[in-house]
This record gives sequence, structure tokens and C-alpha cells, in this order.
Amino acid sequence: MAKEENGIKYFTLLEALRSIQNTLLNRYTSSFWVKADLMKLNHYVHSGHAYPDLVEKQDNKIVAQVRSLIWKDDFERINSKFVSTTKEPIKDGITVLIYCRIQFDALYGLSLRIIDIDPLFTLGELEKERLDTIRKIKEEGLWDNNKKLSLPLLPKRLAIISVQTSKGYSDFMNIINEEKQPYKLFTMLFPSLLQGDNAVESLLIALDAIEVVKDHFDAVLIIRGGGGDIGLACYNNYELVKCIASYPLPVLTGIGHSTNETVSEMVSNKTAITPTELADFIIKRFVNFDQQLKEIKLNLFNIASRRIERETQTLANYQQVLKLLDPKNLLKRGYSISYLKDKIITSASELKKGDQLVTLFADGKIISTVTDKE
Amino acid sequence: MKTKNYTQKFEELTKIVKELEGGDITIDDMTLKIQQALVLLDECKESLSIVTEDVNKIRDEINSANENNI
Repeated sequence: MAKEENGIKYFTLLEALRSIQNTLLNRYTSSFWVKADLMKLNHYVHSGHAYPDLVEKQDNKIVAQVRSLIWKDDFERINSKFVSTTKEPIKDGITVLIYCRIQFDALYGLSLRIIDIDPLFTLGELEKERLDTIRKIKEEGLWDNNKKLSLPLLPKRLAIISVQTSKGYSDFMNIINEEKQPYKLFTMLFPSLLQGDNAVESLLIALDAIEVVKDHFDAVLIIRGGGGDIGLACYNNYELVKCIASYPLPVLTGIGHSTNETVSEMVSNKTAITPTELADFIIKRFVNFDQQLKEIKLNLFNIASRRIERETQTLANYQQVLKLLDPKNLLKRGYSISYLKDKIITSASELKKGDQLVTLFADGKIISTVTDKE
Repeated sequence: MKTKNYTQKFEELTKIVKELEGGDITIDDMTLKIQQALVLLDECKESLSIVTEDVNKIRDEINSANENNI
């Protein structure tokens, strides 16, 4: 009921706001769908409730803004469904399609109570971001740049971007430092967040840090694992993908997931499904090289052996020829050689009566005179 | 004077053997040439024996590596 004072009718604030409340409730009797950007989730772990700030932007400027709320039970249900569909939790900065109803409270003002969120809509938005990144990187001619970098035959100096306590890093290092494998590699960890909203900035900082000392490394490895398939949308971020694609060192990824390949993996020099597979890939390069060396050694041995055999045979043949040609050996077999004035006699026609011959035998020589000729 | 290597000795030996086989040589020259050839033959055999030892060492290394399965 309006009051009156000095001829002016007025309502109390509570009456005015309750009137607005009644009007809104009478006008908006059912729930409805709204598309909005979830600027900040404001999820409180202790209470379990969330108070998302919803906005709409045009040309990057906020043109509409409203508070909203998700009660604890609704949040758990919605988030679970969201994760299951998009492989991402509800988080800041995503575009959502919410099912909501208007709430107006005299104390807290206007807000939207979120009853549901369509995860398929957000999935579409995430896919759109992924495709946008692919298109832009290709248009800029960066798509194959990192792939074209030659990974050293034996990548011994590895800059690793990971989390020291993560299972993926531990799996990787266990294989690299395996006692039985004889190859000693140098690794240096550059810690970074590997999933979620802040991962992009954190990964870019780590990549920048490595670039400063790039001459000390053969490759950069991004290793993540043990975190399930949640929070990988960051690897489709344009800035991160651009950095990897145009990075001066080969970037190898072992992000550890079973869903579609992220764009970061697509542009990297080599991608392995798991950190373990990535470690195996590196060690295998050393094993293969070792094997090639052994084969080369074996080939050299075979070539050298065959050559030695051939030379030995030739020398044996020469020895045989020399033995046959040696006049001493002819004499030993009963032949003799006769000279006339230091010239070997090879025909009776070269001699006449009275010529003095010198005849060699194996054990000496005789001198004789020709007394007759037939 | 520079020592002749295996190839040089082997070539010289081959040349002498061909001359001897050609038959256009006196008995006295033949004896001399055969003596030279026999010296060269011994030296070639000795060089070949050293190379054979080296090659066998490579074979032993390969076998040893295979046994250790490195």
C-alpha cells in the first residue's frame, strides 16, 4: 500500500522491489534457454553452489551482464553431464546454452537460476574453436613448420615441459633412466600446468623459457598423463598451437589421452599417445642406431674376410707358378741345361763338332765336347 | 726409403709372375726374378696375416656384443 507524505505518494523499497518481483514472476512463468558467455564460474567448493557471472559481448565489449546461481545438487548433475560430453569441466570463458528461470529477490536483486546447461552446444563451440585454430594456422602457412624440422638422429638433450609429480612424467623418466638401457640422456624439467584454463599461459611461459636456451637442447617434450581426458581443450588454443608450429626446436608431445587428437599434437614434430610411448620412441632411435652400427661392422667384416680369402688364394697360385718355373726345381726332376758360351742351347742345330758345352745338373755342372752330331 | 705397402708389393709380384710366365727371360734373370718374387710373396703373406688378425678382432667384438645383447 502506498503511503503519502506532503502530498506525495510513495512505496517503501521493499514494497517496490516486491512489486517488481511479483511482476517478473507473473510475466516469466516458465523456464527458458539463454545463450551466454560464462565469464566467471564462481564455484564455491565448501558450499557446492556456483554463482556464475554471465555476459554477452559484441566486438569484444560487454553489452549485457547478469548474475546467476546453480545450487549444489544442480551443479553436480550439470557438471557431471558436461564433463561426460565435452571432456571439459564447466569453467570460465566458455560459451554456454543455459536453461534457467528468472529470480528476483528484494535483498539480492535480479539473477538467473540455472537449472541445466546443454553440453552439446558447448561441445560445438569447442569444436568451432578447434577448427578455427586449424584454419588460421594453415592460412598463415605454419601447419608443417615444426614437422619439417629435422629431429636429431640421437636426441640426447631433452627439455621437458611437465609436472614433476605427475604420473606421465614419472612414467617417461622411468623408461629414460631404466638401468638396463645403456644410453644416457640429459633431461631438464620446465614445470607447467598441463590442463585447464591456465595451462595455455603456463605452457607459453615454459616454451619461451626454453627458447632462450634452445642451443642446449635437441627437442622439447610436452608430457602429460594420468589426468584422464578432461581439460585438453587448451591444446586447441590458437596462441599455443601457433607457438608450437613455429617453434625453433622439434616439439614432441605425449599428452596421454584417448579422444580426438588436439591441434597442438597435429602440428608438433612427433606425437605419441602416451608419455611411455614417447619414451619408447626416443630410446628406439638409439637402439636402431646401435643395430645399424652392428650391421655395418658385420658387413665390413664380411667384405674384409672375402677380400683376404681372395688375396690368399692369389698368393697361393703365385707360389705354385714360381715353384713350377724355378729352374732349380726342373733340374731336381732330372732335366739339365746346357750352355754354349753362356747361351742356353735349345736346339742341336746350334752345335757343331768340337764345341765345348757347360751342362748344369741339380747337384753341379760338367764340361763336355761335341764329338759327333746326327 | 719409403717402405712399400701391401698393394705395391702385390702389384710388383704380379708383374714378375707375368714376366716369368711370358717366357721371354734368360735363365739367370729368371733365377733372380724368382728370388725377388719369393721375397715379395713372403712379405705379402705376412701383411695379409696381420690384416686377418685385425679382422678377426672385429669378428670377436661383434660376437661379444651379440652375447651381451647390448
